[in-house]
Amino acid sequence: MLAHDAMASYGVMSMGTLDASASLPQGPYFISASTGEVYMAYRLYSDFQGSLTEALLALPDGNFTTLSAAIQGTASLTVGVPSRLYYSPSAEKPLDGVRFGIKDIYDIAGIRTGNGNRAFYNLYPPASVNSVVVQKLIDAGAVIVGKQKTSQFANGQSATADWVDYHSPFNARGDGYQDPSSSSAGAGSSIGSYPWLDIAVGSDTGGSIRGPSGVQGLFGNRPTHNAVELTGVMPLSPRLDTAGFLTRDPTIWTTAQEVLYGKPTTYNSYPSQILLYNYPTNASASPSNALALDFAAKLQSFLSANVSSVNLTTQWEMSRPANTTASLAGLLNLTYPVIISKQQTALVRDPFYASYGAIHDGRRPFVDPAPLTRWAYGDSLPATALDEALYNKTLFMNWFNTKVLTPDPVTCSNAFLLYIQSTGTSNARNRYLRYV
Amino acid sequence: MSLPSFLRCLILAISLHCGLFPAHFVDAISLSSSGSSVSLDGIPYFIPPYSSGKLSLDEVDFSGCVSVNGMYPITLLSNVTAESDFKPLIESFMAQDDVFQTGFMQSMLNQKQILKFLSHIWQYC
Repeated sequence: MLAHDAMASYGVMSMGTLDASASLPQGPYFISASTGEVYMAYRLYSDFQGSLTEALLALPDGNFTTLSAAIQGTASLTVGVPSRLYYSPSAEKPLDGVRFGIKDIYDIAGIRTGNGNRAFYNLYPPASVNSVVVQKLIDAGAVIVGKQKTSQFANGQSATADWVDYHSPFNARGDGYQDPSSSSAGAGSSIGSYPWLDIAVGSDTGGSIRGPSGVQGLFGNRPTHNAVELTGVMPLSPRLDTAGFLTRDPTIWTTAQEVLYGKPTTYNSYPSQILLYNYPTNASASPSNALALDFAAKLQSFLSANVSSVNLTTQWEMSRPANTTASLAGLLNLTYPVIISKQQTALVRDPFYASYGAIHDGRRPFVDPAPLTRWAYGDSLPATALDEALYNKTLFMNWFNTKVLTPDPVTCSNAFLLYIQSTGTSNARNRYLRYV
Repeated sequence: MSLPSFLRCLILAISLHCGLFPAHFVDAISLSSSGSSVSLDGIPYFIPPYSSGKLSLDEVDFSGCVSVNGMYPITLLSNVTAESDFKPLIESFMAQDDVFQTGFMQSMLNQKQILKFLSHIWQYC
């Protein structure tokens, strides 16, 4: 039998017993007049943007189940959120009551993980334990309200035609019919659209948090690799995968990062250098140029910093390690697709096909075109391609960490490096893309 | 009753027990609630199937309060001893929470520190 506080950490109150000692938190409830049993009140909202795959209800034993409710709407799930009054953030539970959406590549106890693929969702049983990321957040008091759409197996997908198993979520920005980016599409869509949702957990391997947060106008972070253990999370590439957040609130963002990654080392001063990478130079050329340059100017003023442009191509030419003659493009242009396709085919595709075929007479499950194309590319390469790609990645990483952005014992890093993630240009979801 | 009809009843009872309703089937049936949905002043709410605790309602009179299926919307309070404390408290509830609504204010129940008894009861229904 769990103690009262432990149960409360799962977002639910302890089960009532006649000799339970604590009173209930203030707030709205429903009470059965005949039994005296008191029930939490959940307000219901429509997932009208199609951001979620499943709305969740936390159970007293720590598992989750589907929240069984439906309000008016068109082809939209219904999400329930408990009263904020039940929760009190504290040092032990800094995220108490904060409402989270979780990308459907993270295991949640009692719920199936689908990875954006219907056959995968139906093949495997519900997760028996939370992924480490989800458990850390729950231990800190997080309220998990739903699982969120991911493009299939976390491979990038463009709206709409790439999204076969699930319809791409909607982006609230602009005309309402822009691509929400991917793969953390549901995360970006929901945080950009729902004031009742506080923060989403996504993943970023090659931009899957930065893209959706950029086009929905949110804060989003790709953390340092290995900042948190990814047990219970579907891999795209263990060498590149990271777990991060999308949110509108920088205070919640900071707290969530400390919960997941641990308290950072304290530094007492900021870097006094700003490096601009592929940065605009002409403020009058576009509104986004003006915004980017205005931000850089404000940062420069705040830091009293020197600002310079960095050209990685020429800097590499001048100072690359002696054991390579490749240009930067030659070194890296295929590194990412090689790494993710080789690693995911081995870690996800092969076991999936084997398990599926074992109970379906050797047949294959349906897979969306985007991951299928990635995997076919990996299959077309020799086994040595992965080692070569990882070697090149490591070569670049070590060079970058010694020649461009270096650790600093006083300021953490020698500089801030700024690059533009999203310029707000139109990327409509109703275009048919020509196959090339 | 006459002996033949008694025997008929006995035979019927035996055949019911042995044939039509075998005892081992009864244990296998399970039925549970997934919760319920209600509408309070036009706002949709979900009531979960598990309770958070049990109150002693000896001095609470719900007659005249709105309810559905025996469920009443209430507000639980802690450390509130005077009605004059309500206004700032309710204002802070409304500012902080999207779930709390005036519909929950028909019964305002202040809990004692322990044992889930009530120290003050204010009802407006």
